[in-house]
Amino acid sequence: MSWELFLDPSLLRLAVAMSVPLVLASAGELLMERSGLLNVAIEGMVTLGAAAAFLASFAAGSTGLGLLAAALSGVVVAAVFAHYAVAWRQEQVTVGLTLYVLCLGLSSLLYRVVVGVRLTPPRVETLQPVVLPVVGRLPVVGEVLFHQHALVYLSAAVVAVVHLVLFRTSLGLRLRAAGENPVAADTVGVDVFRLRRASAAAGGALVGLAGASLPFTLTGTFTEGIAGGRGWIALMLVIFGRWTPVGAAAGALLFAYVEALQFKLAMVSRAVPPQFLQMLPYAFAVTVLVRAYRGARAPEALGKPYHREARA
Amino acid sequence: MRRLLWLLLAVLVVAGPSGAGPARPRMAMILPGVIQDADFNAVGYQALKEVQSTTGVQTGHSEQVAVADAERVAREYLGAGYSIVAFHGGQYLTIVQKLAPLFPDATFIMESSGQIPNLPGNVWNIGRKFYEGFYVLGVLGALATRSNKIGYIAGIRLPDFVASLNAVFQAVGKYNPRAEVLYTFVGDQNDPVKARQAAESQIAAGVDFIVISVNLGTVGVIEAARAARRPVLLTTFYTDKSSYAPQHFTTSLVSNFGKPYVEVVRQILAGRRSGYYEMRPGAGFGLTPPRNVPPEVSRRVQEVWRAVVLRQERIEEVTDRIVERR
Amino acid sequence: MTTEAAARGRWQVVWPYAGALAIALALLAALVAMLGGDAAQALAGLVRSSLGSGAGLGQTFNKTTPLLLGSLAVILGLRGGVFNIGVDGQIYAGAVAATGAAFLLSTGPKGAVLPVVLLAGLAGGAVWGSLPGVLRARLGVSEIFVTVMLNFVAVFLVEYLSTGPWNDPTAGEAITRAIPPQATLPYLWPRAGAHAGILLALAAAAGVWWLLFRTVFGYELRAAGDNPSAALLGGVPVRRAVGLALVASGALAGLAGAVEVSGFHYRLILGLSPGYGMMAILIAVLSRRHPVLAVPAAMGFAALLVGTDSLQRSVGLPASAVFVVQAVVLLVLLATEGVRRGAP
Repeated sequence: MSWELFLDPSLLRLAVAMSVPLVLASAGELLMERSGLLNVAIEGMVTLGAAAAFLASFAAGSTGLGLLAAALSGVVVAAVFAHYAVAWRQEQVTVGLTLYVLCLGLSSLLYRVVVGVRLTPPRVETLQPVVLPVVGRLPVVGEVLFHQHALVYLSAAVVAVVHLVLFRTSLGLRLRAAGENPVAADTVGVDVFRLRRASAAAGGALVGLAGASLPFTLTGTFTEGIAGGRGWIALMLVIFGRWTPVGAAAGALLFAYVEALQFKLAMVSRAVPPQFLQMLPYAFAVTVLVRAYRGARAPEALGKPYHREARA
Repeated sequence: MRRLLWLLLAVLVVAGPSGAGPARPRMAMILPGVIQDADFNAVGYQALKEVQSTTGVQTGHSEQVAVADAERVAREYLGAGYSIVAFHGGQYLTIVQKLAPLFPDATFIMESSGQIPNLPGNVWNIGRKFYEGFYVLGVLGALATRSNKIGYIAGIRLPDFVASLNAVFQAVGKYNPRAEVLYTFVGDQNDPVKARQAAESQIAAGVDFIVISVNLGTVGVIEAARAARRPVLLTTFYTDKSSYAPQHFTTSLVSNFGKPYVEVVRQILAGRRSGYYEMRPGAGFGLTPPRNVPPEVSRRVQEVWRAVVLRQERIEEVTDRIVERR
Repeated sequence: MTTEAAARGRWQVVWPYAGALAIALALLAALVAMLGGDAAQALAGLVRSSLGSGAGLGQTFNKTTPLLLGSLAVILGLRGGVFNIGVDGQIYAGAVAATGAAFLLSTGPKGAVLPVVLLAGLAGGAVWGSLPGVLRARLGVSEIFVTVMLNFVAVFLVEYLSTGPWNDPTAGEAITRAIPPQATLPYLWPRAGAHAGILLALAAAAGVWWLLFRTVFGYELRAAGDNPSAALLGGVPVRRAVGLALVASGALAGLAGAVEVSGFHYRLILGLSPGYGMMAILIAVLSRRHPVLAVPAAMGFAALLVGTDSLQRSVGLPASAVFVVQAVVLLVLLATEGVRRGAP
């Protein structure tokens, strides 16, 4: 096994393409977590986003409509979550898990209702790669980074925008304050509740889009397990990236690389049973989490409901 | 609600007298997935319909029956008077072995990958032998490949698929010894994402002919083929999926479960309540005429197919390990 | 408190559950109607097939067992403030251990083999729960992610075993050889097909109740869950208690896996747990983390599962639609609770 096995341009290119759902989902999740909301429904939201995207595109024949439907589904679920967390001060993990189950069920149900009984499985058109003009001609980097489909470029833009908003605008400052010290923020006039709801809406849209990327860029179909644990991985990536979009995106690339590597390794290594190679990404994720946990400081108020009337 | 009761009463009155004479036998089929998958379950359902139209047996079916629920579903059919219960899938083996002695008046049909010893006297066993068909797919790959790299993508590493892979190795070793076979077991028959990733890896390694051995995962491989820079040829099995990507498909190993099922049901109606039917090329498996390959190749492959049907081509069935031949 | 107030208090606890049941049935009826079926007939069929016939009742008991054991596992964790989302993986781990023990002891006498097989299930699940337990106890790593990842790993392990070393070559599917007869659970109600696992589950419920409310460990665990900082100040070994809770939680789930292999399938198969882990979480929350209330809640879920199965066939209701019903019921309950609590 030579070193070039691990640096094969087609492998790197695949890794970049596979990182899109992780980048988008982790960006959305970290927006929510920065404001204090811990959303564990994310895996369900990714699945529902994928279903919404596929079904809307299938029914209306438009990819754009599919993306819109996916984002909308994410916004709605996140808004429901936010309401339970903010207005009713329910335990966020419990509500999140319940919503996760709900989203899984809704995805299959909607699929059955919209697709109905057919003789052939339904498919939609997938996005084809777009070669960027100048940079696309660079020797190796061009093929890896700039021969990708539109959602790859979108996710890069999302990372930049989220970073700018969080760390360079007063809105971002207020959002982070709501997640670090809601009591103090409240006393200086920051509307903690509205900010949390807003971050949930924005984050939910991104998570829905992450789901949309699965049928639109990879398969052209929807299957029940299409999310494949990516929502949970995104949760971990937020911690890995220390609640910054750039850090999470870096982790996403790393994880997507390991995921893509697994198939390359499967072809080369005969002795290892394939199932153990399949365990690789998940075991890797656990070790990454454990290492990332040291020194990781979550937003102080993450997961805690803010009760204005409560005594400290 | 009262109208419902009257309706029920009326139905019973009408249906009542017809129960006096010898009742028409009824057959139920239990399927693991949905019948509109255009794949394994669809062909099972087709077989059921064929049984009904050719033998007159009344049929019912249940889809998406998980192994954990199959016993209860079967018991419900048996309790409702169905005298033949068929299980489309080898994962229901335990249930058949459990129920058959408990319901000696009913006859059971089950599928497997070979003859199962010591089955009760009211069980018919359909053994599906794919590997011979995959041998021919391997021959097609050996003759059609230009990069001399052939790919094989399967899901779970079942003995059936191991045997099929070994058959592909044998075919390539005999008809194009210079070619290499790259294989991947993605872990799931129905995961298009994993299938796509595996296909991308194989194509990146130079594969230009892929023998597909997954079910719903097939669309993932198709997407990878469409995104590839070089032409990539594909084969599938169970159903002809060439309409998904006409320029990439060469042939399909199509399965006609109607053949074994009609034959078995006929035997049951004639009084023979147990036996073994081997489903193989020519007896349930067929090959669609190869496309997108030179006519010479197509002709040769069909020759080999005929030889396989007549058992004139020697193919070894190896299910426990993968034997790579160069 | 006056008797009227006490009665009102009891009624206030009960009516949300009655309301939840009504919502579940109404939602099902609506789904059936949406898919083109007859709602009244479907609901009648649902009740009849799960509770109205011997075979149905037997299957309901069979399904109650893993659901009850799984929810007890989650409850143990929740009492300590940890979320065990890995029940599915722990069920598989216990099933693997039980199957392995059954194959190893294939020549032993019945009285000895079966208990060992069940104990192996406990051990297997405990091992699977110990990784998140240790990580939580020693490093403070959140168990949420670790338990979920181990679910995936467990599935791959089962796939490897059921298609490789333990595979039944004649079946042609991902199932193992059959376990020897001495390793099987006896039937409790043979005509209905109900096995004795339900007794184990009920015993476990009693055991968990006793553990939580009658032992020092249980006290420490509940203190750690209700108020960790106060508990620490009070000298409770919070981290250790929580870590042990995850291990015990895994053990209970592992027992469920062993029971499924030993009492129901007689083999290790992929698909042993059709989402029991997630349902267990819902049941645990629904029963307010109380082991005794988990019994009727688990039975209710089991009846719902068995009953809606017939809807799958008659109306084409997809299997996961039942998740929608279960989740909505819980969401409504959580909402009524929240509304009663008042604005923040």
